Amino acid sequence: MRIEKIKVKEDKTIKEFIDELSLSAVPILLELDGEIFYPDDNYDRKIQAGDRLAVIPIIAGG
Amino acid sequence: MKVQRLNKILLYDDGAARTLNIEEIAEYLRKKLAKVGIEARGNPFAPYPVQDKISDYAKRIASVKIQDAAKRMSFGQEPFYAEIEYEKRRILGKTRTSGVLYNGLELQRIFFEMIPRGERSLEFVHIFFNNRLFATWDENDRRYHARVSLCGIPSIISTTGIVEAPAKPREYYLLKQQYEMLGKDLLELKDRFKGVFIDYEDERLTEVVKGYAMQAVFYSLVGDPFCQDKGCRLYNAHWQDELIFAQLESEYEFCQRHASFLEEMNEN
Amino acid sequence: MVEKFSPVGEKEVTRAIVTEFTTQFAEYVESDCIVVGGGPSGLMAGRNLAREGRKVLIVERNNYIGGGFWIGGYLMNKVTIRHPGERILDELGIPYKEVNGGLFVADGPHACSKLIASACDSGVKFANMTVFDDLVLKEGGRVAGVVINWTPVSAMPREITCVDPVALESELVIDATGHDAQVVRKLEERGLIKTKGFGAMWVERSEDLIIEHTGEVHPGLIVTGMAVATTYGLPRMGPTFGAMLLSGEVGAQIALEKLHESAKVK
Repeated sequence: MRIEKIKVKEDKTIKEFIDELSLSAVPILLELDGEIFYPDDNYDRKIQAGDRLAVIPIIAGG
Repeated sequence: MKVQRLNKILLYDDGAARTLNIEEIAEYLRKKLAKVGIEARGNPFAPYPVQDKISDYAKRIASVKIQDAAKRMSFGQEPFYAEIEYEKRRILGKTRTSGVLYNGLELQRIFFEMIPRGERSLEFVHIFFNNRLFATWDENDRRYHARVSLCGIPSIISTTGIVEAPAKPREYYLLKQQYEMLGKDLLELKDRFKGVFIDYEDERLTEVVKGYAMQAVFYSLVGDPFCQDKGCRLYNAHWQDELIFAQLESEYEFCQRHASFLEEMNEN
Repeated sequence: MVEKFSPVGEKEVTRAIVTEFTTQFAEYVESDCIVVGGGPSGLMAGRNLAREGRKVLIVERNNYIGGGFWIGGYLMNKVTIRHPGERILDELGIPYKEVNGGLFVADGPHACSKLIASACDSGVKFANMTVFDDLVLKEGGRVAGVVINWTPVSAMPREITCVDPVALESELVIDATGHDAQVVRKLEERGLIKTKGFGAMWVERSEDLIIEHTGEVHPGLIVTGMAVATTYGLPRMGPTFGAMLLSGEVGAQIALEKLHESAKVK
């Protein structure tokens, strides 16, 4: 998995966005409007159609 | 490759091995990434001199210790006073003693709060160097695995992880078992394998860490810290001999692809 | 010509033993610090406290004092100490050899006997063949002493022995019982704390961590030596004694600070 930018197609919450992509069990961060945050601290936050979210997987080495 | 524009690379010292020269790593990054600002910021907890905040962070860090590598950790057990005090001493830079195993993702989450709000974007590469040993859970074999690095915000690179995570030669572990049964000190065993793996206080440490710092940079640049080429600094080594080859012995620093990429970056 | 032994009768011998023992025992029913465990960390802690004029009693379940310090690993009677533990060997006058950078080896019997002698010279008193049975707790759950019994008695079922234990009071107790962490476990039985067992054995050198975590685990109870590893879930150590000696030293320092603080309050 790599950092990917995804365009939001319709208004929803962060939780809905994560669930639709089946990412709730994957360690990731999100970036929206230049700010990175943990999805589970922001589940109720609303995102709108047209927003571009970067999905940032946390990657372990070694 | 779609490339992220980088504003700055920030390096922090969360109690890395004393032999790690962070200034040398900063200089190296300046040479590799001529157009990106590089800043060494020292102790990431330094902006929090207030005693209560330090105690709070110490308690949270003490709470993310892994007790049993074969069991997924449960949260909620209060840490002991001595454990909190130890973490406080670590945070305040009064000790660099390591050996405790932490949950890497939880640790990273605590460190995330040290990053200034305005710098929490992919334009900024934050790298915490420390000697905390951390692990991540592997659902496939259902146990924790010690790691060298965790790329995220911030990226964490552990000097203890460099020693402990990539596997040593099999003969080492077999002999170690014998030594333990005979009650012999393992320092003698290390002598026999001198140079074959990166050890604590190893003078090669800084050189090795340069490669891992570049992995953290590439993570932000292109979304992937690693390379399949065993001779490239971005190779994700799981064995000590692979690590030594990629970071110290390969004829080239970066593979053709990554070397060209860096060249282009520095020209544009 | 060989000098003859004095013509002292059996009853005088017995009287001497009993009188001396009971006088000392009565005196040590109350002390500044009771150290449970007469191994290297307990001996160091006791010795260093007694050197500062504190009244110290070491409780040891075996007949012999010294714990595992007589022999190194696998019954080979050489003990290894890593730097900076050799400073303690110098302090105790124990001869040693440097094996390689930072690793020293000494004779187990020589090292152990010197440490015991030093503890005795400092004024430490011992209750050997004595087993720790329980804690004495004050209001608020503060540890205020130990309950002890004779080792042979404790080995028998309670139903056929009716030798009750006795309680000794002290300002502080030090758990130097090694892996078992018996005193800490007693607190755990009473629900006052929860130990963590040995932690993940990734790191070979956890001696530094033992020193870092040596200290008060509960009001009135200090932990030293391998009991520290059990209490805090630290990696199990290798067979070198430097951490035991240094942990005992740190334990004594912390105990002195606590005794000083409590004297100020009184």
